[in-house]
Amino acid sequence: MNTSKTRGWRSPAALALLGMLMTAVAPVSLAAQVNWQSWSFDYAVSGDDDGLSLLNVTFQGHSVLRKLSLPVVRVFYDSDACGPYADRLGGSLSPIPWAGNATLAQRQFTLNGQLWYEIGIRDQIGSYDMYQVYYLGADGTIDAHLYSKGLQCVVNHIHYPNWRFDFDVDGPAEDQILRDTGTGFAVVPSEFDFGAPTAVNHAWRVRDVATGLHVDVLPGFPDFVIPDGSTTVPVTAYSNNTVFGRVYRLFEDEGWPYGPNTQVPFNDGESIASADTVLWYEAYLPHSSSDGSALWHSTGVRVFVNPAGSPPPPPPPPPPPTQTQSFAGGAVSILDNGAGSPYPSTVSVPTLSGTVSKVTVKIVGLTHTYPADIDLALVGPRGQAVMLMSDVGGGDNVNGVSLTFDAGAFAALPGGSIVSGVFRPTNSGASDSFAAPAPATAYGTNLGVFNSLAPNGTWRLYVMDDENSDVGSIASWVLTIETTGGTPPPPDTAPDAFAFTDVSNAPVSTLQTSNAVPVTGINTAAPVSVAGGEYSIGCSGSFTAAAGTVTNNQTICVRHTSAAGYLAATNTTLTVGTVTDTFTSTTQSAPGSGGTQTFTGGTISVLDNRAGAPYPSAVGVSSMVGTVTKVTVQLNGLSHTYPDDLDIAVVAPSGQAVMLMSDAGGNGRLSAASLGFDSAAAGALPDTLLIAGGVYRPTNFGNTDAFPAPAPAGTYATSLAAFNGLAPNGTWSLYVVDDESGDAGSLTGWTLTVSTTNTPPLPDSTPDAFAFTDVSNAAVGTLLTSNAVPISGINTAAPVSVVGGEYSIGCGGVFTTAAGTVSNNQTICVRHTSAAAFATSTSTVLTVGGVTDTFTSTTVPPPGSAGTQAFPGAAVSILDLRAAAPYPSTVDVVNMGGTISKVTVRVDGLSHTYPSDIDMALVGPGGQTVMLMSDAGAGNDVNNVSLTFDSAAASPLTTSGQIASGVFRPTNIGATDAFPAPAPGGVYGSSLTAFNGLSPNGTWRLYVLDDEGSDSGSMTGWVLTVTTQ
Amino acid sequence: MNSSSSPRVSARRWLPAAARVLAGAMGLLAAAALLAQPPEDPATIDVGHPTGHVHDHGNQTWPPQPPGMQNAVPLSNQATERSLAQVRKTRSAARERLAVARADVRQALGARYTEAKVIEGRDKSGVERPSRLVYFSHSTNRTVEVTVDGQQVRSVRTIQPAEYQPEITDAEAADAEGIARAHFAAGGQTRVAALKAFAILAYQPSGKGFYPTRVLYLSFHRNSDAPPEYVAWVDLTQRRVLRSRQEGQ
Repeated sequence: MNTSKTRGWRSPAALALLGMLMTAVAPVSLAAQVNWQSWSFDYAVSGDDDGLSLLNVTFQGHSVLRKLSLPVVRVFYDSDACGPYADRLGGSLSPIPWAGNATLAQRQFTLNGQLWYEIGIRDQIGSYDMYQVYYLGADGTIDAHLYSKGLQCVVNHIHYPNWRFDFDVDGPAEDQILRDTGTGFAVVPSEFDFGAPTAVNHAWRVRDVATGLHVDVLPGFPDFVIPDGSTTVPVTAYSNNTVFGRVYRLFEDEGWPYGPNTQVPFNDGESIASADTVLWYEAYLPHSSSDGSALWHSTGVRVFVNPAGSPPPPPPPPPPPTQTQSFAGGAVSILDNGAGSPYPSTVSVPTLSGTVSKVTVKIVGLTHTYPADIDLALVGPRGQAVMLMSDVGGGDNVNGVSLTFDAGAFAALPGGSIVSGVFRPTNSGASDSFAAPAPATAYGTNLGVFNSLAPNGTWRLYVMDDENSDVGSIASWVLTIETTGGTPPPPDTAPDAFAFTDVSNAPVSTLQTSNAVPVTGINTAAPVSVAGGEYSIGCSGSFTAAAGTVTNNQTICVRHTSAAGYLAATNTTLTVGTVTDTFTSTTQSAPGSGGTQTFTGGTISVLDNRAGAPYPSAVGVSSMVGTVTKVTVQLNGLSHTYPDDLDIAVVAPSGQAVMLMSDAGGNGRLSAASLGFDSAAAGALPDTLLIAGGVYRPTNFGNTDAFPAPAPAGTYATSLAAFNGLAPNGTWSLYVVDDESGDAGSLTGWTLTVSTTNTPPLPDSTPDAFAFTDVSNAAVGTLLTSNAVPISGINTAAPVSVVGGEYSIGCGGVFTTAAGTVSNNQTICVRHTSAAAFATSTSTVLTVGGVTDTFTSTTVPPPGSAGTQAFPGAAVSILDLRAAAPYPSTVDVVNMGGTISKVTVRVDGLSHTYPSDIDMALVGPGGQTVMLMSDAGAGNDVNNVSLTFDSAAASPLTTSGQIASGVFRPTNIGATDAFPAPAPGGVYGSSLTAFNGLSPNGTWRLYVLDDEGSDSGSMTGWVLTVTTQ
Repeated sequence: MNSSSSPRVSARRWLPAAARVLAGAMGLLAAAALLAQPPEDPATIDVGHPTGHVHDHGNQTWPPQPPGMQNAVPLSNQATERSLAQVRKTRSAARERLAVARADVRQALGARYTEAKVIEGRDKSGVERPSRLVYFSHSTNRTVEVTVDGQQVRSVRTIQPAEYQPEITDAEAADAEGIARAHFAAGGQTRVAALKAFAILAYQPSGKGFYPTRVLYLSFHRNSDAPPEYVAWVDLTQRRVLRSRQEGQ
């Protein structure tokens, strides 16, 4: 053994000191130092429960690793038969017989002419007997291995060991992670979650930018243990391994505080092109129950240090020419605990030349009440199958999110709340199976399996829901295929058909802009022309009537001014290539003409044994005249596995309720049925037989079922004539409830058709009340503009006048003092110049149609004067399990006279998903500290509440109840939590009177901390109010 | 249950005391044999079957050993291990005394708790970080984390069990084993008395993470290389069996 090696970045004296410290303070349960051959390292089995760690690893005097550890072994059983588990090794250890029953085995041996140093621990977790070991070769190799045997239950399962490599190659700074592209190594610029085989030969590298020293990270299969296929993972299974790149953060090295369903977190997209980097390696270790309990299994990862260094990676070669085309798939209903509808959803790819070089899939408008139930797979025309998502997202509802699956994406889908974005396919847990006709094959997560294949044929999207009680839907999906090597297709300027949504009931002479339509199916720029209006490419910029061009996947809108007369149509026709559609707006009926209008409601998820989502589904009726003479309701795309469970009612703006259907249809499964309800219809719904599509009278079997709030209580009518004679305008609500367990369904939409009499409305130019927000502590002689107030509640233009200032309609243009008029739903601001003297108010009075409000500004008090002044602070982001941003948030108090007699703090717009995580403290200019809130409100979400902290308030915040807006005493539940620096240490005060008698001037600091995992929040601002005397 | 005064000598794996003594003695004999003669090449033991359990008399070749290895030189040092473990134990006990001297810590822990781990370490600049003592309180059904900086308790933090639980301890495993054995005995499953128990921290199925209480999964086997014959989910917060079954039935 060589005991005289020194480290590249520590002096021998420092080493000796460290050795003394480790002996004296022993930061770990088993820890010591080894100098062997060209290696030097410390080892530890720490309280972080991250197994046997190697620390401060150097080779030939170069630092290589700060720490190599195994924070978690995630384990999943088929059907969760007795798992899952998140095994954290190192808590206590078992004796190793061949090492003299030491719990930490160490030995040197020779194999194939090379010296090796072995160091390992044995840990029994449940019936798993595991040996975690590192083999260090004299040539610069480290083989990290995990051996495991044992069965918790006799069911197939998979272990996912996660090794964490905190590389400090020639020091912690300026490291970069690279992957083999086949023509060299390329830098991965930012944090990533990649399949191991996204690097050619699974070859990854960590390199010091300054010195060129690099360390290769390779799969375990080249080593001396892995090639035995009977007990070790076969080479082909290494394609399931995953590599994660992260910036080093101290708090990310604290063991594994998560359960089994979280993959390596912390991917914030931070740059790792030249940083202190950490590489995680998640391996794949299946155990078939037929192997029994005694047969061990193994997998590993190899690290090889190359001290010779390497030059900077060359720039990547130019990519070969490619063509990309997209193909749209239709909507999919995700039915409870079964196959979706349709199953599969398909797109047909016509003749494309070349072979596939990339496939991405975009899922548009994904809605589900328990996303972990969803299994989603793509099957290509040649049978290759890829699991896009399975067992992710937990139980957090998703509503209309769009997910793009891309093998090159950095992020995997999370175990918790899913938001729209680009992700790599993610399968958390054991592979779930798909019902026929989906192929019975292995479903990987690598979209690269389609590469090099011909793209033509039918592509299938299989959607399954694999648990009870929840449903959802997909609005559409898009398959995008990039092909390489083929002959570019001939220019195609004929896009897929597009359709504008016509507008009815448009106000006369108003600008009408269409919906945005995507242009797809072209491979070169297509000509665009418009007749009867203007168009805009992208819909966010300028409109033009001049001819132009558009490219694939751009969007187009058109617009025109609606007709000057009533019930008149205006058309704008857009032509792209050879495809045309017309956008038509039809103006409203003339006042007093009455008529029939139809209003459209959205999708509804019918949830098992509870209220639907949304509840209610609402449509707004406006601008209709007279009173109701007839109402009909149409339900579209109604699916349900047991319609007898359904109760559906419609409620008018006035609260009148009509039961449309209740306890009808027995167990006759409905699939996308269209049902109309009209009290003049010939028949009622059947009681126990299958309901056919058609028009029926409202039908209520048995006793009237009750609807939960906010549906109105009382008896519901069974004739839609109950609405006759009522005013039509306002919100109409459709309440859908499933009142028995075991089944669920969905509605793709509904329409309400209302007919009214010809009675004209009375002109109404008196708006609803409006209010300006006064300004205090305004600077003297400054132009001040009020908040914008909306004008509502009028149906004709109302007169406007102003005194003591100017006003602007729309708030973005010209201000005037001249009288004018304003229309419904326009906004108004006023402005004036604040007084030239201190502590002086200036007022501007605005009058709209007889309704008045005053905007008042008051200038700051004279410098050095006592009194009460308020000081606003900025918004604060409350980040999960760390200090908020900014930290602290500050306000500066200047020129106040006297000494403090009272301090209050108001927190505005506070939202948080677990309020007891929040610790908030105020620190005065003199360093006095007061805890405002800590550990209050338990886990009851708060949403945009305003909390004022006043030591004279009657009560503190609730310990475990719901926090509502109000005035409270500072509240510190339980023990005092500590704030990280730069917040001061010590015990924090509990009363704002701590500041009394002190000078108010200086910087006041608000420290906000979230001290538990998984939740976060925000504040829109805060206000410090100081009174002096 | 307060196991904090009990050393964690064989967490999550427990054998009858006599068996432990016997195994230890056999291990010492084996170690002496290793030192006295060149180590036998494990590859020759496991010819045709490298699993180490077919000819593995006395469990001498598990954990597995690289096939073809030669000239093995044992370097394990139990004396160093024991010394470091003793230092660790002494430091840990001192910090726990410091912690439980505080009323708020005692309130957070309640009467029944177990000390799960002590987290210590240094940052990259070599600065020692405050120690964190992690407990699970069965009385309050919370993970409790006490941060100690030098001789001062800096904070006491309680965490909902559904958010985080530390690994289980020997004492918890033994406690859960007793509850499970009583459950099976009451059900007439006399076979369980002859089986060996193993315990592991349980998680909820379907991706739902930690249980909202302290739940251990117990499996009962004829020996460590045999399949489970009975299994049970034991809730140590409520001290009852949530679910059990006989395997293969």
